[in-house]
Amino acid sequence: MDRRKFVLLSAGSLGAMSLAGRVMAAPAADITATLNVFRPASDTDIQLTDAAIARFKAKFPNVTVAPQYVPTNPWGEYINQLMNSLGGPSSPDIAMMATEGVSTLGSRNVLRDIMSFVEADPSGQALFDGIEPNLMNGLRYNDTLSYIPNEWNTVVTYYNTKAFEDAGIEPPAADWDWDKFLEIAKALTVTDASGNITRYGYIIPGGQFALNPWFLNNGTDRLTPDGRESNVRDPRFRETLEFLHALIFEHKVAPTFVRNEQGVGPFIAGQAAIFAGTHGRIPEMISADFQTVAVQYFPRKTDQVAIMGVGGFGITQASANPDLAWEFIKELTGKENSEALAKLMRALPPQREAATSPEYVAYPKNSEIFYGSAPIARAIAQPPNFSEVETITMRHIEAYLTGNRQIDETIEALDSELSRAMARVRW
Amino acid sequence: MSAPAPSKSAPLARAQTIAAFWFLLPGYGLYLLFVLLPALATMAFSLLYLDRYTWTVDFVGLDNILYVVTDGRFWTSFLNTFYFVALAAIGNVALGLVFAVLLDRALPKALLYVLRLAYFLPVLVSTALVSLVWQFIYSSDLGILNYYLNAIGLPRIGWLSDERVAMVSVVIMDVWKHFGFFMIILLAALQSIPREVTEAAEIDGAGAFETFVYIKIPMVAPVILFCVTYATIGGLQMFESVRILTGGGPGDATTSMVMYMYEQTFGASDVGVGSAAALILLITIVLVTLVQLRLGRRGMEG
Amino acid sequence: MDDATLSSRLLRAVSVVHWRNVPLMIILLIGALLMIMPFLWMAAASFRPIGESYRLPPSILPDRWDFAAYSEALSSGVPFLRMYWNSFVVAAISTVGALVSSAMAAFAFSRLEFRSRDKLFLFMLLGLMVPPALVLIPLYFGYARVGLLDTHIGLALPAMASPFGVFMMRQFMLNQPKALEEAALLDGASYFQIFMRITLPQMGPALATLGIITFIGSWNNFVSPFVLITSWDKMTLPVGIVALQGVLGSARLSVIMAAATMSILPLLLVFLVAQRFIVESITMSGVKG
Repeated sequence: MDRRKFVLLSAGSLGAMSLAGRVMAAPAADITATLNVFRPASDTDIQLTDAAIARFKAKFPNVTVAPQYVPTNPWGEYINQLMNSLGGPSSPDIAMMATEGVSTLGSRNVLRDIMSFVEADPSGQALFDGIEPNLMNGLRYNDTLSYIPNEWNTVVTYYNTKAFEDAGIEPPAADWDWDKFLEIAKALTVTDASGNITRYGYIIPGGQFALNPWFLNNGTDRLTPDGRESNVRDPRFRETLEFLHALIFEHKVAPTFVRNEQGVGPFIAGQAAIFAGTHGRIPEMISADFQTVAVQYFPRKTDQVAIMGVGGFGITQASANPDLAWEFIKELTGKENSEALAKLMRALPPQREAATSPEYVAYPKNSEIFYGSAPIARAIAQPPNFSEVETITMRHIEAYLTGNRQIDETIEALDSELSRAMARVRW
Repeated sequence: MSAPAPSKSAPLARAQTIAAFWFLLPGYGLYLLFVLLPALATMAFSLLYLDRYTWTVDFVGLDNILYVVTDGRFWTSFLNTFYFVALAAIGNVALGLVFAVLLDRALPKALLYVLRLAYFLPVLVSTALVSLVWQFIYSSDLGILNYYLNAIGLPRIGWLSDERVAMVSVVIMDVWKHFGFFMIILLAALQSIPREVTEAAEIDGAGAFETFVYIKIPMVAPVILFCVTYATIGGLQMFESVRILTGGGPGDATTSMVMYMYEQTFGASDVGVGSAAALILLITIVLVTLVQLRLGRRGMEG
Repeated sequence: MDDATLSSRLLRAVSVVHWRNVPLMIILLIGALLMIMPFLWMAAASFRPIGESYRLPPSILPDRWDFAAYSEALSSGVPFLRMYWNSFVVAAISTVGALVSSAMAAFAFSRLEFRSRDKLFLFMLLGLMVPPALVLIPLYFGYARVGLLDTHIGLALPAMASPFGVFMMRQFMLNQPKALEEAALLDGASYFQIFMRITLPQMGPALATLGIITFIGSWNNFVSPFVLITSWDKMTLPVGIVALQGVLGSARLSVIMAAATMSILPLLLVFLVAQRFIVESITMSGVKG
């Protein structure tokens, strides 16, 4: 590694070590300061932040919390904005990041080691109570943990229970495989008198996060596990792509592939009987009063895993009030936040209790599998140029799944472009 | 131009120069800061590597330009852009001319009002919003176009998912949005042809078609040239319509040069390469404009 | 207004119908209908209940009248009204700035004599060939350094640099008689006084035209705010609505269409009222150029 990076890393680790030795000095209740918080822009985030600020104000009335909401569509832009804000006038003290960006921020040493704060605070360890340990793997970078988790996401399969009843078939079992899946999809595809398909069995997800479990369950991924090289020449990667392609073109159980299609719209409209989505798709079903829905794990091939993306809050190196920021992080991630998050039915709370309460798993049926995925979930490799990797991968997959390319040229082109991109990364 | 003041005395000239400085300061200052400086900065950036996270800068010379020039995707975007410009410029100006001719007659005011509303409204609204709407209209399974095609028994078309059709779909939307603008301009040009000229032609025995081709077209030729040049420059900068409609896909079928620029700068976080691509785009625009103006002028003199 | 005047007005409006033109007029009307079809579809989709967004058949005319999508778009979870306000503020600042700087520069180029005047003017015209998209990249990094990123003023400044505006204003000024100004000069007025009291008041139509073009251009602009604005608070309409599509998800089609309809509405209203003026202004600048 070059000299500059060496200096940076050693400075960072020295800083971390000195912090670890520090005794926690809880800030005085009447301290006056401003905390800048950088987090994604969605109605959920705004509501939860407002609630956290209200709780925080009760403890530290003279502290102003200034949240900055930035869209995460795409994540790459969110990270760019974060980097721009650092060192500027409203430099963030606290930043929220998800698994995608952990290695980017980690490799540039943007955030402090959170464990020093946890260990110095008597109530620090309690923040991890009830959180599935596997989830923390989504936030670690090279054994350093810089975040306290506040939410996480996984992808499951949603299915229309009424469609199953009408077709007279059993709902899918937890360990169903690709063959069973195809059988079911065929049985659920409904054609009308003139040969037009009025309902498809399955709608293929248009986004990378929901598409990935197909590859993971076949023991493959677009990058090697260390996240440094293209892995698309893996025969199992090809096999997965061909399977999805066949769903559309050969078996005709899935409609045309549409980029970014989340699937929930056509599902609610009755045009697809099964789709893949995160827990965040549920509010739309609730507002459409869609009753006949249940969830199940992804169909397995050589493996049965789930994908996970974990979000958490960290304290920036640049922060002038790290101890105060730590206090606010406790509000942003603690039990009360999880309970509020659970009510909103969007992302999953990290604590088992909040995510498995009777109210939470009441709808859709079989919702226990959401948190049930936590022990078997895996975070996919996300290098510093993750957004470029995603763009390249989805572009080629789209070209293939829309019938514009053959499989050989797709793999060839994807591999060469991905390799070129990975070669440019400065770690 | 203006006749010089009676005595070009030194104090008067000085006063004018000082006044000119102050009057020009805002406008010219803005021009220098927000047009010239960025253009120069682009040239500088194309020779550098900037790490966005640590704000460190490395001099890499021609590496970025080489990267762009050897990138197959760049040339695809280059060809796509020209393909788009050709179709869209011709479509826009031709359709604009046709409709201008159709409207160049006495029509009831109420009808004219309605027609202007319908044909010009697309011009006024935001391209981004229009693209959102058209994205759904073009949807293969849920869109209105395919629904009606299916209803009359024709096969569905993959407007945005079939790479042979995708660019044409983008062009159709672009022409829908812009031809009203050219129609209005060409109509005004046609209507400003003095009556005497067309009447003289009629007296000489020329038919409507001949009048059109040999009299009217030459008289509005400068305006047509302006329209083509304007449409070309606009087309070369196409970005939001294609980004929202297809995201550059399927594959790279509709990626434009500006999209490539942005992908490299913000997607791949490589400002140097993005700037190199921007530089090539700038040179392209300048060359194309010069060529068009020269060809146009020669055409008119001939 | 009495009946006689009204009916004679109506008569005049629909008269001038030559019979051989009728098939042509029918064709034109069908064309007009096709042109507005996307807008009709958009409005129709916006009136669907949210859960029904995707139900087939898609309709061109509203077949259901449910305002749920509108109330959701206006609800606090979606910063739609804020985006409206932001668009307005940025457009207003851009327009005022563009008018002031262009008028002043045009005054210098048309009324004042100084060395290299014409060279400077031509040099400025070169700027017309620089695409805005190119400018935005270095601007983004420059702004990031000085903290102008994500600000309204930062967004408005590039829009004020308008070689086209200067060109248009200068053209207009050159066609204005100079007698009044020369008289004022002899009377000892300063150039600034001449500009404010004599030149500017004469510039009404040109100012209005440039104002309209700049305002609408800023209101509809996508690329600039896309690059330069990052947080929800400051986002303008076109970028905001496209971002909403990502946030709200595909099932809330009617909400997106409701937001889009509400964005287009003011333009539509203004156009309905001032159609003639707008069209003539744009024509004037186009034909002269």
